[in-house]
Amino acid sequence: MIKARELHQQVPVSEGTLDILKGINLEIKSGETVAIIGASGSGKSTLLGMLAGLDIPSGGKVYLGEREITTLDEEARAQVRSELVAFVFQNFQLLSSLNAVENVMLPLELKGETGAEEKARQYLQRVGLAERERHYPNQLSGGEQQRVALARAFACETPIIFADEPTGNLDTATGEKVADLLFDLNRESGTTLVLVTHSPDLAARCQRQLEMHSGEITEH
Amino acid sequence: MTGIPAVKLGLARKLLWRDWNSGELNILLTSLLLAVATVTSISLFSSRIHNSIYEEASHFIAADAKVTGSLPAPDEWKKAAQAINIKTADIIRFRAMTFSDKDMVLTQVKAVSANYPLKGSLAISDRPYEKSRKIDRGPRPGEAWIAPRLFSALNINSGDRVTIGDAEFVATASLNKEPDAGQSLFGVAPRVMINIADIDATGAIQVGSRVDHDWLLAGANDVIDEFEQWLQAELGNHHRWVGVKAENRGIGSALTRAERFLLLTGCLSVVLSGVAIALAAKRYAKRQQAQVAILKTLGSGPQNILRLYSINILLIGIFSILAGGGMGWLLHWGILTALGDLIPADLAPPSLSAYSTGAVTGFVALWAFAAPPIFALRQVAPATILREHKEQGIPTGRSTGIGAAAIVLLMIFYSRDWQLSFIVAAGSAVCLAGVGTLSSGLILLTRKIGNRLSYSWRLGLANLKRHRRFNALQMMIFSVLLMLLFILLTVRTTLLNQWQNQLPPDTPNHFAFNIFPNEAQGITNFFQQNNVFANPFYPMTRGRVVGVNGVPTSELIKNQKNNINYPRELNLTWADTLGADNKILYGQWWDEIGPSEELLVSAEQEYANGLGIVIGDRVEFSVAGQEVRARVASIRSVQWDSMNPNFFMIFNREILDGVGANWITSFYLPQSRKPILNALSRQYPTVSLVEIDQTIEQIQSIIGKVSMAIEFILVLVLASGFLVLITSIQATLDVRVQESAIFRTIGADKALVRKTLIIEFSTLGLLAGILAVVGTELCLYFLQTRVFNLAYQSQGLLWLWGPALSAFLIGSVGWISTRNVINTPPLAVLREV
Repeated sequence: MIKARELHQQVPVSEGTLDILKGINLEIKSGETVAIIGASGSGKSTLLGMLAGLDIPSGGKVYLGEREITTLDEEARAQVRSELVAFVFQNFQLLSSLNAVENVMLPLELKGETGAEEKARQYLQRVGLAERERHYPNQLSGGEQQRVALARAFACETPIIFADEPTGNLDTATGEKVADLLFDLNRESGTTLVLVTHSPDLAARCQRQLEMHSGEITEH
Repeated sequence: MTGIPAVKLGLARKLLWRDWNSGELNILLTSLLLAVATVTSISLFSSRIHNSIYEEASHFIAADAKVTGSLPAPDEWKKAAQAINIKTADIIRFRAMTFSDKDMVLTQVKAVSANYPLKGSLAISDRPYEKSRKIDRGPRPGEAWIAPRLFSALNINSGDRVTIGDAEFVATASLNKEPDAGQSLFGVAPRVMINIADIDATGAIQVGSRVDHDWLLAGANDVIDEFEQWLQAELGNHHRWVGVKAENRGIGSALTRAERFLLLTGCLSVVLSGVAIALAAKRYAKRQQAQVAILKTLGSGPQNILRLYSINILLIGIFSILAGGGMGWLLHWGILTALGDLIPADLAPPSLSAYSTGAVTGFVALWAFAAPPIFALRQVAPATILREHKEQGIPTGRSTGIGAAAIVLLMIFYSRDWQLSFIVAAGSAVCLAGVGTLSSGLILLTRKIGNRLSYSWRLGLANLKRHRRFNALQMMIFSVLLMLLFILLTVRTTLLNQWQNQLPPDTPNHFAFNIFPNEAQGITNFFQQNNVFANPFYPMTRGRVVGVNGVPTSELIKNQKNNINYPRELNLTWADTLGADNKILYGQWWDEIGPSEELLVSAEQEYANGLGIVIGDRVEFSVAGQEVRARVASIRSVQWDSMNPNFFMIFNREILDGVGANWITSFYLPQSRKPILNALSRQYPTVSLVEIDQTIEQIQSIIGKVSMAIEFILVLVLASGFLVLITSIQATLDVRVQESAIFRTIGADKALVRKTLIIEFSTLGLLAGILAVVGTELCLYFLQTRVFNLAYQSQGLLWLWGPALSAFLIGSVGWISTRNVINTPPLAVLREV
């Protein structure tokens, strides 16, 4: 489902260049749950961005499904993302000007789907926020905002979900509930889940654990 | 792969509506609305004032324009004018002896058609020097209306008969005022007005008679302008087009300066609006980056983002133009209502173009200033969502270039004046460049000084240094903004003072001319005995300029574009001293040259320019049938609206030993002492007296209106400037808010944060004020000398109050804008930002 070949990422710094990714090779099969763990600054989020097509690497190739996305332009990568990928972020990334149901509807509307509102309501109900669908992000707690973000990601019904520290901004109890919901929804929809986390507990719930260290990856 | 469909209008509208509701659009929309509203209201107001001023000024020629010449206007011109609904009237002027049973006087006969005057009205009374009544038509056939002093000169009473040529008339009224009396002041004999239908009966006009024909025109400004364009190509050597400004040099200069000031303010409001919109759009775009990154992770590509924000800009534009246009109309209407009695109720309607100016400004401003940063959002990398990226946008150089080009285009569109637009644009550019260089240095300097000050000062000045990149940008904006406002205030004050001083209460309101040399002393004594203040007597003789350096005048004027009628006779004079209302621009006056046997001449600037005359040229005159040559020793500017006798050509000595010379003077008489004129007229019956009270009243009225317009427009532009100030501070508010919150979380109290912010903004204001004064002096030099034709005056006091006001203003606005931040709990601030 996801393949990376000799993935390199370099950024210019005052002393020359800094290698953030040093020839990463990995393959994630359809339906797998994979955790990417590592210390801060080890390149976890950079790798996630590359795999999801949010950014292009300095070298190497990334395949999503059957397509190599590293050669695509921004427009074509956007199309690939809209079909194959959905995201959950550490700081939720909801649009503050839209209420809960509108946030969930947004990707569906962007795809031109009919019945977006009905579908968004169903997913909000699934994450337990049916009563809060007209609330704006600043009227919701952190846990509730992340549940809206989960509803938005799974409402897209894409085969792959990327999650960047999905519980990183939440307290332990709320984080556990959100993690439960994430894995439940993933299981129900049969999606491939790639998550970046600091949390060993969360990583342990995934089938595979990949550890990033100084731009290199090791599988446990 | 199906791909993501084009973003729908509904979604764009929804996102825009949400932005509106959340206040994200407030500053951008306010800037746009104010830009459209300000420019619309200034355009409407200045158009109405302009049209009213011209309406009033048109009374000086009793029409909106006229064609004057030695032959009647051809029928085909009359048909063409009739076809586009231009009203016309005819005047024939000639000199003739007017006889009564007892006496005879050389008079200037004016025969007018039934619909004369087209603009303004006549003032007549049954008997001379009685209270006048206004009348909108000329005399009926068989009637003659005669100048008041002709009654005594001809020794007749009202109702007596007078004869002109072969025709007999009844002198039914004393003609006290004519709307077009201001023209041909000199060399005219007392007026007799008759109906044009009686011309043939007089038999006074024969082949070869010297007759002047005026064809008066009145209609809508646009129609008259269009007709002028057509007619200019048809005019031959016998006819000349005369507009309002051309006919009265005094009014002309006041109108030109007023127009230029209104245009200048319009241009400045366009610049200010552009800056405000650009800043607001930049801030809006910056705050939209997170949303764009989210949309991109949800599958929107650059094209979709571009489409989404294009729809947004279009919707914002339509709303701003409609609502701003409406607000502009309401604003101009509200001000007119508020001004009440200060302005006439029958203010002329605005020109059609005034309505479109605001809309065009809004549209161009939106695409040139707002669109670049907003369209640049399509370049926001989706990976921004994972980590903080530096601000992404189109290169500043490119957006500045687009904005600068748009500002220049808008100014040219608005003013139709390349010179004015160029001076304002170049002044702003020089100021920006200079400020850009100096501001960083000044900020660093304050930091060094600040090391010796108290903690809050050190903190405030450290902030100034830490934010020096955007503080330098902000200082550039502040200083250009302040420079524009200082220029406006200074030019306005100079113009108003000059206008108020140019017509003091004892401005001469009478001219006495056709005074023979042997009468001059007697008249001087008469004035002294009656305690009348008179200006010096000038000798005056008639003559034409026939060539310069051997080239005939007819050749020289082929390409001249001013409104001077070169072929006509001039009044020539000679004088030892230069009048106070004359100023030598080039060359020297006689006292600097010393005694000279050579005949020298001083030429008026505009007249000289038209013929390409420069110092040292030999000008050939035809005086009393003889050719006279004089060397040009100086070129002068003349304040034509001083109401003193003034001349295109002044010689250093008598021309042809004073052949044909008579003398002229001007004097002031209040209304209550007018009967003295009768005594003067009886004692010196051949002396011509002209009353110009009406002309002075009209000039004063026009100056009053223009001054009021200037005050009003100044307020509007100041409002625009204030908005730019707020917008500019708001643009950097997010960073300051966040820093203030951090300061407070680590223990700084509200008072310290407040003080720090006030110090930072006030110091910024002080530095911007100093730079603005430098820019103001530079621009003023060019504006005063090149655009307003005034003498350059350095603004000494501005160096004191400019920076002080700037520090206070920017300090206050900065403090008010950030006040809420200080009063909000730091945690809430940190969560929001």
